[in-house]
Amino acid sequence: MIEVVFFLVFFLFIFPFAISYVLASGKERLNIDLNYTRNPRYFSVSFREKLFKAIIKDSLLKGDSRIEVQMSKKELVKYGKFNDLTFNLYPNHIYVITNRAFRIKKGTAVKKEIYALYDLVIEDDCFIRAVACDGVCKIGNDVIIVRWIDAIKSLYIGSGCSLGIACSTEGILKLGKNNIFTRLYGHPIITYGFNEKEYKEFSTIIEKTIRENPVQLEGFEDKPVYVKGDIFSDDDIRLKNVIVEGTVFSFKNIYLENVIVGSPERRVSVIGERITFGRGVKIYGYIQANTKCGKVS
Amino acid sequence: MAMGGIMILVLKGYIISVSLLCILYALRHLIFAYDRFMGKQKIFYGDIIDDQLPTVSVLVPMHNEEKVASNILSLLSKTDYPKNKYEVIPINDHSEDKTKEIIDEFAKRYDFIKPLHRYGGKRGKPAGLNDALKIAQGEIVLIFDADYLPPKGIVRELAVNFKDPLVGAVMGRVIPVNADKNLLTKLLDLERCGGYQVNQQSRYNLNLIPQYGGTVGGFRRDIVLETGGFNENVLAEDTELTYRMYVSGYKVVYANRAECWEEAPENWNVRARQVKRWSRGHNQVMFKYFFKVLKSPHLTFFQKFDGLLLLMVYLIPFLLLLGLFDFLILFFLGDINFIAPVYVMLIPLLFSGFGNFAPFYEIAVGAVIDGLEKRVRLLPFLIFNFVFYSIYISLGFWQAILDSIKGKKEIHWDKTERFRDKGAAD
Repeated sequence: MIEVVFFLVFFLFIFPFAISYVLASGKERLNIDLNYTRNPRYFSVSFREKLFKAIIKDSLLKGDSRIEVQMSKKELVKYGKFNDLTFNLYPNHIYVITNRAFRIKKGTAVKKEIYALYDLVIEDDCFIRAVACDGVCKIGNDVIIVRWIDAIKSLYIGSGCSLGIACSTEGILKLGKNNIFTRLYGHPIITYGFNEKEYKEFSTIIEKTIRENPVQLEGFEDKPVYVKGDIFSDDDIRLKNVIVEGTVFSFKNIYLENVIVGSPERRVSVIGERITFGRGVKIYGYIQANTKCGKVS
Repeated sequence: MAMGGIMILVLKGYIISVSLLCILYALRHLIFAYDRFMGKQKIFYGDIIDDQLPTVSVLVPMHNEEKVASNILSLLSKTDYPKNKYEVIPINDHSEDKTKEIIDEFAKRYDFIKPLHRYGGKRGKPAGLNDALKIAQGEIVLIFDADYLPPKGIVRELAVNFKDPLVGAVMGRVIPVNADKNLLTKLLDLERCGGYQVNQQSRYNLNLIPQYGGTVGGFRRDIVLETGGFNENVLAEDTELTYRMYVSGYKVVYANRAECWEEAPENWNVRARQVKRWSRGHNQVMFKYFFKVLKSPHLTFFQKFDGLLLLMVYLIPFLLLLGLFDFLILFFLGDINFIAPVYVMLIPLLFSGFGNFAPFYEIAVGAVIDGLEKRVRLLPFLIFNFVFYSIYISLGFWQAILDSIKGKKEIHWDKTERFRDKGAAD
């Protein structure tokens, strides 16, 4: 019995080892992009770069309005000015729209990405995969964005929208009610009902970073609490009528109402598992919740 | 008869105890693999974007590093971290090759590179780090070994973790750059994959004890200085710092996205010396911190449990080898039954397959996440590493025992050999 066990263990093992070695031959290394640097608008920036090179090289030089571009896979691109586009003619194409102002009609569904070189309006009830806009982008109500949306100048969003994985702009990002998001980036991001005010008095001034579990701060509408540092918590963070100079970070849930975070001089972040914004929130910088766990209530 | 009976009972009891310990490690690793694959992943501090970042000093210990010095200094000079909050201190520790000249050339070109040349005093990494800590200006100190290739964004990716005042140290992810070189480097790549992508990440997810690894990571300078700097007589200064942070009430954070290439050892001799040194150092830390961890008011029950299992990682192979001798004694005493061979196989298989150094399901999960489809087929070869590590870890353990018996204070540092062609890093 023992002899059989030893034979099996020490001799027959050679075969699976030999096979596994042969199967594992060849090169395979995890690659690190040594030039990578974090950018909250990464998707759209990378998308624009790849598309732009191809447009200049193929479309503009060859005068062709349909080109092939190597993105993560090979994609077809339709380039030019459009009138009353329904996106039905070339459903599997990425559209690059060169109109000075373009309007995507109510209820339109677009399977692929859209890149507008100037201003763009997306009317109510549209279903769109991803949007890059180099001008001002206005989105109506109940629009669904599957992947990402980015506008260089500013981005205005109606109510009841689902904003995909990332929603970003270099300028102002204004959000209506009942929007669902994962990541937002804007300078600033403003929710409905925000009124610009200059506060002369504060109910409390906290000089340092707050590190507590949980954090609950509530000031008065005319006399908010002022936090000069960041706020970190392993538990929930709930802020009402508060101004925070720094980052707000929770490993659980964040609720903000009538709150200002960051300043024009300092980009900051609001990061939590679930984030809920009430009215009157203004954030300079970046917001991140777990997938679709961010909500403007 | 009575004496012999007790002896046999003790010997059998020992085998059963070691088996139970292996099963405990197996369960621990199974939980880690499950958590990484199926569980909810914890939020990273690395996601924070904030214009107000801490000041950072990057320390690069170097001893005869002419083959790799220019690569790392060149990459560190390309960082996207604000240069007014950033300095690099290459620590030239008694180098006899051209390391000094290379460092000085970079210092002339970049004013944030501030060399520290050491040609006197105690040799070794902890001594060099202690000297550098005295001149470092940054609130945060990051350390990279000289053979590492840090990407442009890694300084920010690591430093931003320290926005949370409770974070005392942070550890990034290490990936071998020479993974395709030979069987050893391929196996090390697999071990790193399981160790970082799964083991460290799930310890972070589960709020247990992520470990600071001494490179591609950093710590708060003031905490380390206030607690006496690096212990120059401990070989595993990174493990020592990890436990020092935890028992002082600080967190150690694992930043999976802070990836950095390293040069893995390319021959078994170099790896053997490295493992022996780690074992010796780790066990020194175990002797020092075992009861401190048990008594710490800052750690939860599960953190203490995980912390103790982690401290014992380099003790287990020695216990296993003892178990094998134990089995042989029982065999020659004629006191084994038909299931004995199963015992013999069970203990090492548990340890190699599911144990702490080559937990293959962690590696399999890591390889799936990383997309290393070919490499994962080498998993059965990890049994060789088990035998190899068992021997050298046990030797390291013995040295640690001897150090503590003799009260040995002076410990010689064994530098890891570099394999890169001078200045070549693609």
